[in-house]
Amino acid sequence: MNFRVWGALAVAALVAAPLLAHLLRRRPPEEQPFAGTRLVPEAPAIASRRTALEDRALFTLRALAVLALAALGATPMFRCARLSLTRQSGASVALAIVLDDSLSMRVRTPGEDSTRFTKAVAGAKELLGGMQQGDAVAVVLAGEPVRVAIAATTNLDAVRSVLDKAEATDRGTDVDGAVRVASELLSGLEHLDKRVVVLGDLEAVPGARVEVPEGVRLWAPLKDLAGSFDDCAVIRADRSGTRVTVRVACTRSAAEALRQGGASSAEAHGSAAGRRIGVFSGSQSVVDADLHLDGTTADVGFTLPDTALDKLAQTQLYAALLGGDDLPEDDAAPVVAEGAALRAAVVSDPANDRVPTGGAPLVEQAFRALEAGVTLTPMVSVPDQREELEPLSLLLVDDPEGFTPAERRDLGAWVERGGIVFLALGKHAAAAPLGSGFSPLLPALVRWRKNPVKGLVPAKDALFADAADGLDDLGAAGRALLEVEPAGAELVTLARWSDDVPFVVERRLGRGLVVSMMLPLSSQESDIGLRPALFALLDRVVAEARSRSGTGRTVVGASWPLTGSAEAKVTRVGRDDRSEVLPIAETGAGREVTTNRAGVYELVVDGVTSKRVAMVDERELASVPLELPQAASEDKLGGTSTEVDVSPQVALVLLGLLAAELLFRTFGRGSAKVARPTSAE
Amino acid sequence: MATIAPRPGQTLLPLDWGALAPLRLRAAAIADGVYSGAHRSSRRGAGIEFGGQRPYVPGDDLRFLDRRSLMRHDRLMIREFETDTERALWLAVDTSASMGFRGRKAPGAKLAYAALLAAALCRVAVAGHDPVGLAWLGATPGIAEGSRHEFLPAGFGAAAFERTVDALERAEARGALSEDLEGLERQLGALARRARRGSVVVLFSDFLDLPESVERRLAALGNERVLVAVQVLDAVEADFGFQGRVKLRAIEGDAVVTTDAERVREEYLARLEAHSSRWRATVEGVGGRLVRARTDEAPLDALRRLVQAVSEARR
Repeated sequence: MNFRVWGALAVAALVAAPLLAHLLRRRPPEEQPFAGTRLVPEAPAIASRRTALEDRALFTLRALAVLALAALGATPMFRCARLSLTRQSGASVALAIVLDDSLSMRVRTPGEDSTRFTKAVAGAKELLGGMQQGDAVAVVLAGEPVRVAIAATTNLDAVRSVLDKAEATDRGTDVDGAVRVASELLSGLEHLDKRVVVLGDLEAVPGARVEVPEGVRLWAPLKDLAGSFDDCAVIRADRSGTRVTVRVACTRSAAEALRQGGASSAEAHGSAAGRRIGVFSGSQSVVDADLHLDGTTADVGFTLPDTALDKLAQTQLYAALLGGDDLPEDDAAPVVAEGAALRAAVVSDPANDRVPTGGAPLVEQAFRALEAGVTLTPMVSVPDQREELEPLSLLLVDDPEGFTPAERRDLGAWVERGGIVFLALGKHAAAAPLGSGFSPLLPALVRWRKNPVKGLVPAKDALFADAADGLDDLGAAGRALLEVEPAGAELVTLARWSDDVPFVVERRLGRGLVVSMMLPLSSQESDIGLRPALFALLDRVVAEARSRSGTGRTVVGASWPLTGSAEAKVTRVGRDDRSEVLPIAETGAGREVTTNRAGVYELVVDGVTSKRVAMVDERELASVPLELPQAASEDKLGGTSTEVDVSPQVALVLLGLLAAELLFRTFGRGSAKVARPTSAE
Repeated sequence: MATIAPRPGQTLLPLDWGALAPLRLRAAAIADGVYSGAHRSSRRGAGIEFGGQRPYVPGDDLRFLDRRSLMRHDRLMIREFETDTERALWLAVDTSASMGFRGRKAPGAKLAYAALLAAALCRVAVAGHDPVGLAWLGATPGIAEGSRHEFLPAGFGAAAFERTVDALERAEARGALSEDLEGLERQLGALARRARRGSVVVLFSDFLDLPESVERRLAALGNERVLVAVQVLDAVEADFGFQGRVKLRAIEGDAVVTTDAERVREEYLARLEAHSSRWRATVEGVGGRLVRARTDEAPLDALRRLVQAVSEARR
């Protein structure tokens, strides 16, 4: 503050002037003529009454006017950080705001009550406040999976409403994906000045790269949100009998601090110290131990006492970390029985699926390589008992010879309740015995024909993504062809051969899904089993199975489809038993519910109650600072305005106060006070 | 803005008419808003109502002989008409100093307001062919005390209205009634002599400084006459709308009171009501009426209440 500001502020001391004037003017009341004087009783003067302010409203107005005058002189001493962008010659701007709502954004700023996310939202609103007519704004949420909160629009009120409703989640981060989506949103706009603004802590999975197309400029203004944070999270806790295995992941800085803290404490106290981890029933510890990390993760094993098992029916056990860090929200995770993990069965003929190098069939090896956390059960035939199907979430059948009517009926009912079937069709499928077939799973007649073409239609779609590379030279001696029955109109083709014949088709049946590939997994027929595309395909069906499984565990952010259910209710049950009902969204694909927080969820679908668990994405703890292009931090794109001139507003207030005083003096005193007589003495 | 008349010995200031001027026009406008037939005329004319028939007796005026009755029934009948005795209207206006007071919200001084009501009532009476006279209580404008010109004799028609308005326009508020009791007694006595039995006497005053000895005179004046007293008060006097610590000086007399307005307001209002009630009892004791008029209320409303009170007092 300079001398002028101090001088102006000194004017504020004059606020005492009206009071001083009142005290100085305090004197006996002036004589007034009154005809009824002899009817007026005398009343002795009271000292406090004499000193009291008779016109409090007038005094207040005058004091405020003096203060406003001081503030007017002192402006622009008012400083505040307000995010704003620089315009090119005043042209309209198309702005896509990438708002990171991942778990790391819930970190609280040291010494403040706000989180990184609230600061990011505040920054977005400040940017919005600087928008002008003709500007278009879109908002993309960078928590995984990326979502478009609102497409580019000139309706700024709608954008503001979206920002008001935005909440931080426990999701992982996909900033690079969000920037890509944001760029696509801007691509169709006519504005010359297109910008993607990233409002987040700029943490991403290792290897993530942010790129924007030509004509779009990237800007990351909130650099103070970036920075490492100390956090250890309980990713999952699995129980098998009395054995509980807890997966813990920490950020690098937290792991380092933990190791140093543990070492120093051990030296000082002669015992292991630092954070502890344990299994809790409510707030009561069942078993706990010191947490030791070699890298940034650890699998800690516990053996539960028998008394704890007795309580399992009544209470939900939680694995939790003791001691604080920057994110206490992820310090606990529910203990889930291992049997509740996703269970899949693989039906294959060992003779056909034999791998020349030996070992398990290809598909089993693929599952293990996928590390999908699936409990795999090899089978030589499709379960013929309904009870055998019930515990399964996913059934992979390699080159089946069709299904008998009883099998089809049981499989159809199981799929309609949410089961997932993956069919790899081969020669045997085309040679189904009399009475066997694939309907209703696949309402088509399967033929096996020589493959006249090579490769698939090149498309990096959602099915194969980057794994599509090399599929254009996919070779196979034969392939399955479908003669679709009338009901086959419901089939959706996900991938095609280069001659446009379907390669992968999908059919939704009730709450379940049937995915059919037109090649068997045998390495003798094709090399599809050796390609990354198979991993992508298996990953897809596993994800679908997880989203439908009544016993599965999904990463936060996953959507659980509820299509086909007449009545559904999803409730998040907190560790403190407080519950929160989740809204069920109607999408183009049907009804679904999306999780934003880790924890236990209770689903009641058509009267059947099941539990699901949403867990923190372990990769969020392993995130590293995102490298942005140098241009993204250039000041010419905008900045933080630190000085705001509020003189016009203060002057307006001052004018209002003066007008109010004038009105008050004119009309406010009423008829109570009689003017002084005009008689001449 | 507020004014009062000067105290005795002070330089005389003109009466503060404020928004009540010009008196002639405003009085006419207000009077036009009041039903002029509030009381029946005392003179014969087109509006006289038929009152019935009676047999002829020798000496009856043959102009009233009912010719149709004579021709049809061969009987001599006399047509009778309702007639009233003459009821003169006497306006008595208090011109003491306190009547010169005008508060902030009042349109004019109390005396100006009283003069307006008096002029409007005069207009109503003149329209009904009643004679109207004017008397003063206190200083007589431009007339030496004791002169016979202290009274404006009762007269008829527009000329009477013009004379009354002229006199009222010259009104001045000065002096204190309590300091010249003899003069006041003389003025009331003269009024009683001039206003004959059956006359209507309307007295305009604030009754705040009127000596108590006047009560007896008023009672005598109301005997066999219709007495209506109009208490004219300013809003400040009626509500005691002061605030905080105030020092009040009586306009007539030397009383000075320093008081706390909020604390004594209720007690003042109670005393004022008791004071007014005593005068009301005096007036109503002889069949009259006391009407309170505030200078901040519409004169037409006050005039209507006044005419109504006159009408009630005559029954």
